[in-house]
Amino acid sequence: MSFNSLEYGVFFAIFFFLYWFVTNRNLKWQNILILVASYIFYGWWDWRFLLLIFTSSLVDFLVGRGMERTGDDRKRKWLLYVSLAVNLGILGFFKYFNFFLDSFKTVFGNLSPVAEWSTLDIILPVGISFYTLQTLSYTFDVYKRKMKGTDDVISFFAYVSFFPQLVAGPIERATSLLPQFQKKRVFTYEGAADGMRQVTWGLFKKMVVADNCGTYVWEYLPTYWDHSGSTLFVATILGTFQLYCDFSGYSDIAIGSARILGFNLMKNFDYPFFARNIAEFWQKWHISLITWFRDYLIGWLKGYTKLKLVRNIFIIFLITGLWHGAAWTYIVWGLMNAMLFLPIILGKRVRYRKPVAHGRALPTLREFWKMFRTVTIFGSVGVMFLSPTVYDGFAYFKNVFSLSLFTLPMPPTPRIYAFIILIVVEWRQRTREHGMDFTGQNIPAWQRWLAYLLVVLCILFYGGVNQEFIYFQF
Amino acid sequence: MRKFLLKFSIFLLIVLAVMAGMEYYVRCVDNSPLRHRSDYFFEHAGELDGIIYGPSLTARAINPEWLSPSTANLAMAGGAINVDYKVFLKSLEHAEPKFVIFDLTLAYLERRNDATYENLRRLPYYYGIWNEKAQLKDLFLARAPFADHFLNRPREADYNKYGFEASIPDECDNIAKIKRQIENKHFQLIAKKRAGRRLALNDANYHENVAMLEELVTTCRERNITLIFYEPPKYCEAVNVAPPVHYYRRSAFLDRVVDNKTVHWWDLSDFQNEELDHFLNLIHVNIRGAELVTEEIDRRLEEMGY
Repeated sequence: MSFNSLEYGVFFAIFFFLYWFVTNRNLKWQNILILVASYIFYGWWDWRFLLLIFTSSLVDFLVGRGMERTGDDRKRKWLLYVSLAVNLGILGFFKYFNFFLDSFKTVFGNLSPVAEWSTLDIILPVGISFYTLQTLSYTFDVYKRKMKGTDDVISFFAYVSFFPQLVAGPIERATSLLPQFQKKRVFTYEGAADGMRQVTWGLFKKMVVADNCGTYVWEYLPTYWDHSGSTLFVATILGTFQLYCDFSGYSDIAIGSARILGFNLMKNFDYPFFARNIAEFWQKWHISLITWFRDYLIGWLKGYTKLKLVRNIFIIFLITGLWHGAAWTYIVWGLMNAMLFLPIILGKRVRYRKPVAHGRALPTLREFWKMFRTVTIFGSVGVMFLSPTVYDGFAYFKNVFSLSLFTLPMPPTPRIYAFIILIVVEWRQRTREHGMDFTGQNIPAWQRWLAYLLVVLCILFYGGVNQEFIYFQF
Repeated sequence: MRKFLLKFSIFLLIVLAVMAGMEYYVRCVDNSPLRHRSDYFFEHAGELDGIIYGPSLTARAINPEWLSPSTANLAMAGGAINVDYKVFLKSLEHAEPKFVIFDLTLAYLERRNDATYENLRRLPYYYGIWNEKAQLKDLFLARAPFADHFLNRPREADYNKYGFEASIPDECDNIAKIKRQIENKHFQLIAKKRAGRRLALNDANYHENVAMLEELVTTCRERNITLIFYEPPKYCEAVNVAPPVHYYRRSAFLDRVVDNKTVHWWDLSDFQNEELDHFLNLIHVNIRGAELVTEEIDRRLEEMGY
C-alpha cells in the first residue's frame, strides 16, 4: 500500500476514525489498533514479510527484557550479540546473500568452496533496512542504559512496525518514539492541521515533482549512450530532484501522518539543496540514517585526528552505500561521497553555523554558486546510485563530459518545470519544518487556503505517471 | 476535533467543486479528434459502409469525405492494436460495416497501450469502453493532463464533420521542419529516438496482438465483413530503418490470414513516398498526401465493388 494511492487514503480515513473516536479512551486499545493497522499495511505487499518483522520485534523485545533483568555486563553483552546476530542475519540473508555469493564467485572463481552454490530466488522484504536499524536502536539504547527495557509488548511491537514510517523512515530512536507509545496522545487542532499540510506538501513533491522528473530521467538514463552530454546533464540534475522529492516527499507524508495521530517524528531532510558544501549537505540529507550511524557506530570508531576522521568517514559511507543495497554501484556511490569530504577534512575546514542567506531574502552570487556546485556534485555522484552497473555509471560520466555537453538538450515536458515551484517555496520556508509550515506566520486565511487549493489541484491535474517510491527497494 | 473535521470537510468540498467544474468544462470544450470522430460515428452508425482503425498515421492519411462509400475513420493518435480492437468490437455493436480498414503499420504488431495511455481516459466517456487496468481517476477527462489539453487544443474549425483535421497550417513550414530533421544532428537524434521507441521489439506484445488480430479476422469472416490490412505511406528516409524481424513477423501473420477474398493486404508504405511535400513529418502525410492516399484507397475500394 503506497502513500500515493487511493487505498492509503481510504485506509488512513478508516484508521483515523477508529483511532480518535473508538479507541481514544484506552491507550492499550489504541496501541493494539496501531499494531493491527501496521501489520495490515505491511502485509498488503506480501503477508509473508510479517513473519520477519514479528521475529525481529520478538527477539529485541526479549533481549531488552533480558538486559533489564540482569545486572551482569557479560550477559548483557551476549544478549546484544544475539540481537545483532538475528537482526543482521535476517538482513544479511534477505538482502546480501546473493550479492556476496556472486562477488565471492567472481573473485575466487572455480577455486572457491562456494563455486558450486547457486544464488537463491530471494524476495527482498520492503523496508527491511529501515525497521532493522529502528529495532536495533532499542537494543543499543537499553544496552547502553540510555533507557529501560520495556515490559509493554504491544507498545514495543507497535513501535517497530508503526506504519507511517515503517517502510522508508525516518528511522526513529527508541528513546524518542517508544515513550510516545506509552503515554496518552492528545488530539490538537494545530498538530493535525500542520500534519495535513505536511502530507499535502509531501504528495506534491512526490506526485508532481518526482514523478514528472522521473519521466525524463528514466527516458534517457537507461540509454545514456544514445544521448548528448547536455541531455544527460539535465537528466542528472532532474534525477537529483527526483531522488530528493521522492524520498523527502515520503518522509513528509510519514511525519505528517504521524502528527495527525499525535506523534512527533524526527526531521529527515532539512532543505539539502540549500547546502553550501557536501558536509553541510549530508547534515541535511537523510538525517535519521546519518545520525543513526553517528550515534551507534562513531562511538566505536574512536579518534579525532584527521587521519582517523578520514577513516571514519570512509567506513560510514561504505556502510551507508551497502545499507542502500547489495550492489557494487551503491558501494562505489558511498565511497565517492566519502571522497568528496577529503578536501573539507584535509583542507581549511569551513563550518556553517547559520543557514544560507540568513536574514536576507535572496542568496549572494557566491552562495548561489556554492549551492549549485553542491547539488551538481551530489547529483553527478548520484548517477552511480541510479546506474545498473559501475561500468554504466562511469560510462555515463564519460558521455556527460563530452563535446556534446555544449549542444541543446532534449526538451523536457512543461510539467517538469514544477521543480521551480518547489525551489521557490522551499527557499521561502527554508528555516521552517516543511514547505507548507505556516504556523506563526501572519498570512491571511484566504491566502493560505488558496495555496492549499493550488497545491491540491496541482497534485490532481499535473501529477506524473505513478511511480513506486524509490526507497521502498531498500 | 470538531474544528479540524469541519475545516477539512469544507476544504474537501471546495476541492470537489473545483474538480467537478473543471471536469464539466473539459467535457464541454474537449476538442480532441476522438470526440469529433466518435460523434460522427454514433450519428451515422446505421448508414456506414466502412470503418477505419489505426494510429495517427491513418488518422492523418484517410479523409472519409473523399471516399465514395460512407465511411468513418476511428483512428486515434498513439493508438495500438489492443485499443483499436476494443474500438472495433464496440463499433460492431452499433454499425454493420461492409468493409473494415485496419492499419498494420510496420512494428504495430509490437505495440500495446497500457492504462497510462492518454486516450484511454477518453475511451470510457466517448465509446463506453472500460479498460480493466485503468484506475478510478481515469474516468475523469480533466485528469488527463489538464495543461496539455489546453496547450495542444486545435481550433474547432480545423476539423471537418468526420473529425479529420482538414486545415493543417502552412505545409511549407513542415517541409522546412522535415529538412531540419534530416540535416540537423539534434533533430536526427530526436527522430532516431522516436523511431527506436516505435520500432522496439516486444515478444509478449507481439503474441498478444497476433491473438487479437486472429480474433478480428474470425469476427470479420463470421459477419461477412471485408477486412483490409494496410500500411500508410512514410517518407522514404523513414521506411528502411526497421529491423528485418518486423517484416518477417508481419509477413508470417499476413501469409496465414490473407486470402484476397475476405482478408486483404494493401502495402502503401512506399506510395508516393519520395515527395517531401506530401508529408507533415517523417511518418505522417499532410493534406496533399492524404488526398493522394485517400484517392488510391477509393480506387481500390471501387475495384472491389464498394
